[in-house]
Amino acid sequence: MLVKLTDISLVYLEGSPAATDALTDVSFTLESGEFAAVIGRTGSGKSTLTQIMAGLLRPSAGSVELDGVDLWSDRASRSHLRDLVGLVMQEPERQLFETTVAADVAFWPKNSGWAGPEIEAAVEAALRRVGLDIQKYGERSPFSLSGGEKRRVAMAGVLVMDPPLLILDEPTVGLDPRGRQELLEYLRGLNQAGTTILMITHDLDIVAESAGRVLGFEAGRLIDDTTPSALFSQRAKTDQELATAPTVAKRLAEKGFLLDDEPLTVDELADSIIKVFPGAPA
Amino acid sequence: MIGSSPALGQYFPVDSALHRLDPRFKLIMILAFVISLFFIERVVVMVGALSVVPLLLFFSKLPLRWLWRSLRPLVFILFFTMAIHLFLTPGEPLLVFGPLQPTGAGLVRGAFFSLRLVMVITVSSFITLTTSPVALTDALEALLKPTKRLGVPVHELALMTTIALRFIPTLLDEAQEIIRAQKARGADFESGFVVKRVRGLVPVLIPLFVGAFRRADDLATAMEARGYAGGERRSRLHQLKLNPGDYLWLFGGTLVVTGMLVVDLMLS
Amino acid sequence: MSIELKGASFDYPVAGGASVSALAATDLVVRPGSFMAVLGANGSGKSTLAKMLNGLLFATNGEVWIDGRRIDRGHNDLFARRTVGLVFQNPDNQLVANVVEDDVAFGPENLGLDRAEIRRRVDRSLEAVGLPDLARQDPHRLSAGQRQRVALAGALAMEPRFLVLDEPTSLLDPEGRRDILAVLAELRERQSVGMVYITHIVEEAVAADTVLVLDKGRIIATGPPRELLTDATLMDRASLYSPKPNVLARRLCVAGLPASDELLTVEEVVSSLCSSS
Repeated sequence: MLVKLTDISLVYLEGSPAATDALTDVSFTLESGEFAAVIGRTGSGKSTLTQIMAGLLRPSAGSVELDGVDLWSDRASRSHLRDLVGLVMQEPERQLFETTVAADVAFWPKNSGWAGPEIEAAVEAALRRVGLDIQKYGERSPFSLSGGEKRRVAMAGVLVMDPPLLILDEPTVGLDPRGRQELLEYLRGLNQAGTTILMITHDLDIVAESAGRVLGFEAGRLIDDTTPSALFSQRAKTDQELATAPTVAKRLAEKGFLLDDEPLTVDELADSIIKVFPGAPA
Repeated sequence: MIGSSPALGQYFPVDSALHRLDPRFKLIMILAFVISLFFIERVVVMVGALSVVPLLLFFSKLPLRWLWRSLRPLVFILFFTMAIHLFLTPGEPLLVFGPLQPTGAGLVRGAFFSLRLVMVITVSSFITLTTSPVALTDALEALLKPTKRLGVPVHELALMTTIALRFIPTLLDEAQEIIRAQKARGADFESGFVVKRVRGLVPVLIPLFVGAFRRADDLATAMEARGYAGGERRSRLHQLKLNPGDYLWLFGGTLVVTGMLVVDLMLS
Repeated sequence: MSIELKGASFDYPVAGGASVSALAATDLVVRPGSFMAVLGANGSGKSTLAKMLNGLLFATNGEVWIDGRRIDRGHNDLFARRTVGLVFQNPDNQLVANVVEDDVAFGPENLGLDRAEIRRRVDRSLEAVGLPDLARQDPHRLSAGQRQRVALAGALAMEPRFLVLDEPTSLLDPEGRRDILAVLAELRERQSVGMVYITHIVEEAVAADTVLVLDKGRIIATGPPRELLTDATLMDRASLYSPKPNVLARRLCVAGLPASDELLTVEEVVSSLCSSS
C-alpha cells in the first residue's frame, strides 16, 4: 500500500469561494504501481483531493497514510513523506522561476538538503527523462523556451526526486495532439517502470487508453471506484458521456450489432468489429 | 486558504435604499460624516453619533453578523489604542500594577479614541459594503472630472481601477496555486528569520510577476481587438443619474453632520 | 465583402535587429457566411494569422484586404476590428470588467455608440450566448466555459461580420466546450456570421466548409474536411492525427469491411457498418 485515505472530509468554512470544492467521507487505497484516473466536473473536489494527498492541505477529518505512516501525526516525518509525492499542477510551466533551467529543476532536491554532485546527477537525469539535453538546455533561461519545452522543464522539476507517487492535474491541457500523445506515452512508460500515477483528466479517451482504475467524484464524494471498462459499461446504460470506442460500441449495439467484448481503445474496437462482422475475412 | 470571513468592507450584494443611493452622494456624505468625527470633542456626542450605525444597517439591509465578521480583525488595534491611552494618560491612578498605572482620565480618553476609530472604520466601510466596485469607479471618475483640466487622466485612472478590481481575485488564486506547487517541491515559507523568509518568496513572486505580465499583454491585445484606442471617443453604458430620493438622503445627511457638530460646539 | 490575404507574411522582430518569420507569404480568402477551420500544432503560426485578420498585426510583406479596404498600420485598422471580431484562448485574460454586462459593453463603448444602442447590443449578445440571466454577475464567479461565452458576447457586441476564434475551447472542460460549440453552431445558422475557427482539435474541424492546414508558418493544404482530415500523411506532417472515427474506419476498410476510409464521424461509421451487415 502506498497511499491510504480513510474517511477524508474537508470543509471549507462557509461563504468561502471554494466551498463547492470540499470533500466528504472519501476513502480509498492506492497500491504501488497503479495508474489511476480521477474524473468529475470542475468543482467536484478533485483538486482538493490532490492537495490533501500531497500533504498541502490538512483534512478536517480522516487520515492520510503514506507508506504506512500517518502524514499528520508528527511534523518531523512530514517533510520526508512529502518527498514521496510529486505534484504537477495544471499548466505547471507557471511554477518556473529560476534564471536557468538546471537551477529550476534543482529546486526540490536543494530544498530537501541533497549534496551538490547528487543534485547535478539528478537534474541531468530528470531533463533526459523529459527529452531535454542538459548540455543544450541547462544554462538557458526557462522563460526563453517554447510552451512545450517549458512544460517539460516544469515536469522535470517534479520528476527530479523520482517520487514513487506522481499526481498530475490535467497535464494535457493546452498541449497540441503530438505533445499530448508524447506526454501520455511517457507517463505510461514511467508507470511501467514502477511509478504510481494519479491523474486528473476530463478526457475520457485518456481514461480508456491509459488508466487501470478510475475514481469518479461528484459534489465532493467518491461515487465511482472501478476499472475503465466497468465504468463505461455502467455509463452506457444511461446517456452519460463515453470515450470514443465505447460510444461506437454502444451505437452499434443499439442497431443490433453486438460485439463479444468491451473494447476501450480504437485498436481494440477495430479488432472486435472485424472478429464478429458477418463474412469478414478471418 | 482564502479566509472564511469577508474582507473588510467587501461588497454585500443586495438591493436596499443605501445600495440604490447615487454613489457620488454616498461617497461625499460618508466622507463628510467621517471627517466631522475628527472635530468632535465630547464623549456624549461621539456616543450619540454611534446611532448612525444601526440606521445605516437598517437602510442597507446588511446583517450585523456580516459587519461584525468583517470588522473582527480590527479588535487587536482597538485593544492597543485603548491600552495606550489607559496607561499613558496622566492622572489619578485607578489601580497600581507595578509600573502600569491605569488612570480614570485614561479610561475616558481610551474609550473616546477607540470609539472614534471604530466609527471611522465602520461608517466608511459602508461605502464599499453597499457600492459595487463598478459604481464606485464611476463615482470617482465623476467626482474627479473637474481635475481633468489640470491634466489628470481621469478616464484612464477609472479604467485602470476597474481592471485592477477585475484581476485581483484571479491573481490571488494564481498566487495560491503557485505557493502550493512550490511547497510540493519542498519550499519552506514558514520557518527561518526575516532574510530567509524574504528569499523564500522569490519562487512565488517571480512566477506571479511573469504570469501577471503575460495576462497584461493578453488583455492589452484583447482590448485593442475590441476597438479600444484611448478614452476620448468612448461612450458609457452606465451614466449616473440622480433620483429625487437621492436629494432626500443629502438633506438627511447634512442634518446629521451639522447637528452633530453644533451640539458638540454647544457642550464645549 | 470578404477578407483577403494577398501574399501576406509576418516577421517577428527579435533581439539584435534580426527577425523570425511567423507566417510565410499567404494567400487566403474568407467569404462572408463561410466556416473555415484552421488546423495546426503549437507554433504553426495560427495565432499570428488570427491577429492579421482583424488588424492587430500588420503584414510585413503583402496585403490584407477586408471588404475592399486595404488594412495597414493607421489605415482602416479600427474598421478591421469592427468588422472582424476576435475571441482568444484564455477567457481569464480577455475580460476587462468585473460585471458581465459591463464587459460586453466595452467594445460598443469604444465605438462611441449611444447608451440605448449599447444596451440593445449587450442584451442581444448575452441572449445569443445564452447568458442573459448572468448579466450582473462577477465573471470571476462563473465557470471557465461561461467566461468564454462572455468573451464571445463581447466580440458579438461589436456586430462583426466575421468572427475569428483562436482555440476558444482548448482550456475548457467538456461541458464548457460543448456549450461554446453549440453557441457557435447556432450563430452560423441564425446570423450568417463568417467564421475562422483556429484549433488543434481535429474533431472540431469536421463541420467546416473549408479546412486550412498550417505547418511552420506555411499553409500546406486547403480543401474540404473529408479530403484533408482523412489524409494520414498530411495530418502527420502537421503533427496532427485524423479524427478517431476515421482511424477506425481506415482499419476496417483495410480489413475488407464495408467502411470507406473517408468516414469522419461515429454516426457515419455506425450506419455504414449497419446498412450492410
